[in-house]
Amino acid sequence: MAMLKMEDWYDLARETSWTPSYVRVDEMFPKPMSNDFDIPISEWEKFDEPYKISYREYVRMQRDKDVSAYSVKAALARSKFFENASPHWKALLALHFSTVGWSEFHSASCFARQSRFGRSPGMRNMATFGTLDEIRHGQIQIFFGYEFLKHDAVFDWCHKSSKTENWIPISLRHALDDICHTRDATTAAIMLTVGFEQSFTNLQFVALSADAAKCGDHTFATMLTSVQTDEARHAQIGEPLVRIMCANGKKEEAQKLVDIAFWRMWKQFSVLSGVGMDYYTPIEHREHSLKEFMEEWVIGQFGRSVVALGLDLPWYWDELHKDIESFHHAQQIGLYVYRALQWWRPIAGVSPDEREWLEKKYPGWNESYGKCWDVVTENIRNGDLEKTVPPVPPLVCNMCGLEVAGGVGDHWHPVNYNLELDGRRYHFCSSVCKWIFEEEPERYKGHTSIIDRVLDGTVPPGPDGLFEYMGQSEAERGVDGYDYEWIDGYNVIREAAE
Amino acid sequence: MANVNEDRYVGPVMRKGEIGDAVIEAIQEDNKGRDIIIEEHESYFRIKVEGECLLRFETVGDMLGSDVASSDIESAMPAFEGFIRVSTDQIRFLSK
Repeated sequence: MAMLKMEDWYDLARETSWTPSYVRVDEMFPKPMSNDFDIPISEWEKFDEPYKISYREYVRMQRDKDVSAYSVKAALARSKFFENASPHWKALLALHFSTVGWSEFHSASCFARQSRFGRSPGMRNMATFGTLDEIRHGQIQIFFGYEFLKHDAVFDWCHKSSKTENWIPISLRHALDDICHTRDATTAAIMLTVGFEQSFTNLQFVALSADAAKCGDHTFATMLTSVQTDEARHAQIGEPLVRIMCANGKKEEAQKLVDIAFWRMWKQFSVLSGVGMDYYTPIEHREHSLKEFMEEWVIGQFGRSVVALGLDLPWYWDELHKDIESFHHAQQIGLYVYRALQWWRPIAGVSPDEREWLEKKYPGWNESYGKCWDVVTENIRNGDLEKTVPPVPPLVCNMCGLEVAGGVGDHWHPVNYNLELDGRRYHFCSSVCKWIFEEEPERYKGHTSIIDRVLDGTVPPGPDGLFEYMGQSEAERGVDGYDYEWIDGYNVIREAAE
Repeated sequence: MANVNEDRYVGPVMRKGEIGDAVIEAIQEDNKGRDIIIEEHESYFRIKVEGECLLRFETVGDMLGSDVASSDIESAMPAFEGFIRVSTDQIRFLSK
């Protein structure tokens, strides 16, 4: 018997709307959970899945994906890749697995709410698959990360980090809470799928897989792309939602959601992917710089997609271009000099060869960020290790939770974005983080950064107070990943000169 | 920086491997008359077709010598550019 084609039965099979008789529609879909933006339900129900798949086919496909990824892992388990990996790559793996794995469960929760409170059957259907996808992503990454635990206790933080008040999870949770958990289903769907997934997951899961493959870490490379094959599908929820919003006079609202979510996630990925690609990936295995990958995947692909969708490029696009050249370089300095506040073993990534690479990829790097590293390097060479750790805490942005850092070296320029509200001064790393705050001060004003918590007494006093608050025992405080041996490269140069 | 207003090329990003190779051949077969660019990266191919990209599963199957469904393509396709439309027999990537 001939099988019906999917398009002949699909719409009928996933038609789960009905006219309620025991409750009102606004009780089924209360606005705080399911904002209709005053667009009639008949318009929302025009949502047509761009990416159609049956549940039966979905289950078969996901099983095959898991079989493939886990098979590669099993086959390569005896190769002792991790044991032989450089401290560079171990730092990258630690940073990835201890921040990305649990973040996937945030997305799972967000999609689950969409599958209940989405305004149309098609959206709810896609979100159901999205929920299952994200559960898989959380599980596979926690599992793959925990495999390293027998070699390195740092990987305990694959899950632990999510439960701590370490400054990095505070920063990441604030961003994810903002776009995934504290918005209604329609809003969260646009912010998560367009502002986050269509823009940045490609960076960490496809672009980084190229570096992983060059590095010979085929287990990690396969896992990354396996995850992204799901993301590429369920992220398409955003397309029909934005089209419906634009067609019904709500372009401005949709634009704002994308602008906010995109910037919030850019800040997170500039550190995660930026430091990972430009400092933690061994130089001989780098496919491209963060800037080049951003040009391919975000400035190029995402930018073209946003415009084709009927939206405008975010208003701060020019500022983004500048940020791509600078923000993660400044954050890398902070991650290294405040290394005890990290749970992994940070890498400086500024040996003579690496500095040459950075200068080539980011012309002017030596005259700016390089000047800071000159001081750090000289102090290490002289054995003055205590001088490489600043005696005062950094200023942290009250939006992204990352360090406020201006231009340095010959291109010195201070950053001064702050505002006073209800007797409290808020500091921001950029005009865009400040703009997001000013758009909805009531939403953001109650949050406290790690530095706020130090100053208001939430963090216990004493030399170990901050570490105890952040869940870091003495053994869980970051130290130089190479025990400063990378400085030998400079010694060789000096000896040759002498 | 890339110009976001340039003529848009669309198409899949395929993981390197048997299916990825077959998809490249199939797209070249099914999109004759359109400009096609294949960018090779360390772990993936970016396939770019001017204006619109058609990917027919039957053509991919012919290249592979076995039946192919959308799920087989998805498993090897971590990303794509364009607006995707998936049906029983084919995937289309649209530029607008």
